Amino acid sequence: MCMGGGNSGASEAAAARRREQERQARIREGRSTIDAIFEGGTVGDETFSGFATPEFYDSVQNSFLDFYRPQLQEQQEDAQRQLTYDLASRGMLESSIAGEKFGDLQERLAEESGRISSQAQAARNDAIQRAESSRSNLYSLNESAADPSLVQARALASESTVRQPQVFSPLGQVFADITNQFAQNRAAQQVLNPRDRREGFRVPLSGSRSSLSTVG
Amino acid sequence: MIQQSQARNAADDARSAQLARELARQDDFRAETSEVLDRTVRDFDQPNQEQALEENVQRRAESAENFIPEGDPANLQISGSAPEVVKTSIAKQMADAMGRGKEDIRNRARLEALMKDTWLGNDLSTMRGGRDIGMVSNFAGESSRLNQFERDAFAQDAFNKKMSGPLGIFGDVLSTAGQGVGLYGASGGSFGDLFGSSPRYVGIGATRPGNFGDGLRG
Repeated sequence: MCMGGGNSGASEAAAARRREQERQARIREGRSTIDAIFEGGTVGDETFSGFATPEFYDSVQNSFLDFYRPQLQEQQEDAQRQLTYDLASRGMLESSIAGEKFGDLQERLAEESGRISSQAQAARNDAIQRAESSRSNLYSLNESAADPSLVQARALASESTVRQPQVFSPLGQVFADITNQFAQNRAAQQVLNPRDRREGFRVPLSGSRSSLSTVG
Repeated sequence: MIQQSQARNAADDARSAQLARELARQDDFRAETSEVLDRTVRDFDQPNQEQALEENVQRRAESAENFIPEGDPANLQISGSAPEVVKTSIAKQMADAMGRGKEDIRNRARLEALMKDTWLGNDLSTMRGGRDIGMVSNFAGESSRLNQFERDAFAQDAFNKKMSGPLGIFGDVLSTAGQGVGLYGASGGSFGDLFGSSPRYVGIGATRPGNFGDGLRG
């Protein structure tokens, strides 16, 4: 039988409850720290600019577009020039065929622009997923460790994972199948008709169909 | 006995009070979880979904159309002597082709905005809600486990305090003595043996020979 006695059990229970409340407070603090580091904000005396922001995701997308836009434009101009020469050499520059071919070029340009833009958006979504995956891992660590300082260090280190550099491969030949039609045909003609094998091609002069000039 | 009864009642009261405190904490956790769930479910409301889809479609389509390089018009060298109708026809064919290309961009944008952007947004919303609910569940579980220990500790503490009341240790002594007397009597002993030389009788009511209650002589 317990003869009187103190309240050591109750004090232990109270201490345990206090420790649990402190643990919860540390976890909430750790969460706030993670959010501030990722999205920008202030934790205590420190201010973070954030690296998992809409601006960063937009920069990922724009970097992708900025890399491929000059290449696509260059290919488009080259293809247009090549097509002009090929059509002119066959005397079809003012025909409906020219309109059809130039139209194919424009349509291909739009399709390729859409494809590249779609890939840029995919790169943006990948960056978002990387950031959220990294954040989820930090949340789990936070709940296990309940150590805001540890979580802060890990969160700052995760920036390199989220902002990993993109790897771009050169743009393939987008208009090759359009411009090569006439080139292949010309090469075949030269093989079949060796006497027509010559440098350059003939272009009618402006205003005079009877005067021809050899270009090239 | 009375003091023991009071002590037990005090223990029960302490246990109930602790349970009430824990239920209040669990109510707070539940409210926080409900708030997270409501926020997450709101993201899946039809108006929000449609708005998100339209925004994603618009962003994709604009990005693709703005990306189309203009090209150098000088590269397109149609002969100056070409009839105007030819130039117009070629220009129209090119414009129609570009229109078809842009239509393809918009169709692609709508499909990918739904299958990629909107679903990604939904997944992220679910993930965030799950993370928040997981944290609150962690808190609620730990609090509930701690409650078991607290209930027993506070109940024991209340019991002890009651037992160490006004009678103090004296009440315990009397209670112990009373139990001892009861056991002695049940085993056939008599107080006479303690103070005198009365024979020992076994059985209930066995006090002295000749009585109705004579029992067997032990």
